[in-house]
Amino acid sequence: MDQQHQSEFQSSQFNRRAEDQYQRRAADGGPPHGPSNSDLMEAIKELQGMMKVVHTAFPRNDLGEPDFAGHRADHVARIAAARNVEGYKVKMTERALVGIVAVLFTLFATGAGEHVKRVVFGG
Amino acid sequence: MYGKTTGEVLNRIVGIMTKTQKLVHGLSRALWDSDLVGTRVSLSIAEFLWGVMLIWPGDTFDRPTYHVMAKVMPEDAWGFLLLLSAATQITIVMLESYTVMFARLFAAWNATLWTFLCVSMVMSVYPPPAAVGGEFALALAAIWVWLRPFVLHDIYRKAYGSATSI
Repeated sequence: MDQQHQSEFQSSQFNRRAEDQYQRRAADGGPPHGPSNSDLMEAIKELQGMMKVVHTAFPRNDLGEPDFAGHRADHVARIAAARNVEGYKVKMTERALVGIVAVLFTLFATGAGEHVKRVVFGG
Repeated sequence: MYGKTTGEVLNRIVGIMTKTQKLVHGLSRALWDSDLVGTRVSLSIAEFLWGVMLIWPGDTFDRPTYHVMAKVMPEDAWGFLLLLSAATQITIVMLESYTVMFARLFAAWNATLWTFLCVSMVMSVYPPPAAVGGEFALALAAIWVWLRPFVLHDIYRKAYGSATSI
């Protein structure tokens, strides 16, 4: 287990309780080696309960299992779609700006520039 | 550019392009990501003031600017129509019911109303009065309020259709 996951495991509630039980047994003069079999079974049952709760957060796939891969695929698809949406919006804005600049350029090219010169310089 | 290395020139071009992209992104967010509540409130206030001024005693439609509008309806009728439109618009804002069918239909009506007001004034007199610039801006705003949901719907349909998944 790498350091990050080890620290996460150590900070989990389950492990804190196991640690408390170990310290109590050591204080009572009991074996210093760690939790007993019954403690382990209790911990496993608690973990199984937590996993059941986590599984209810995921829809079922065609095999009736929690669709973990589908959940990830859905997130990937949504992130890609959101990026596409931003791309479309920026593209349409660019096209609108280019259109406006093109219209202004055409106006100046077809004589509006002459009119402005006449007004400004009186020529 | 005289005396500068190619690298410096390219860096400058890239810098300008990056700033341009930032401007485009900023404008894109203003157009697409802003809510249109302020726009609707402005349209409502403008319609209210138009209505009040048309109902005001005196013949506003005697002026040549309103020649086309006068042929369609009398001045007071236009006034009441605009006041009704203003009341409807502000009600939509207060109820925050922007996406219901009635609000969408009203947005189409509102865009038509403002476009007609602008076109009729431009057709009545030449050159067009300078103040009609404000009305043109409001007409564009009303058209955007109507049109943007359709364009966004199309964008989302294309984006979700082309998004790949594993």
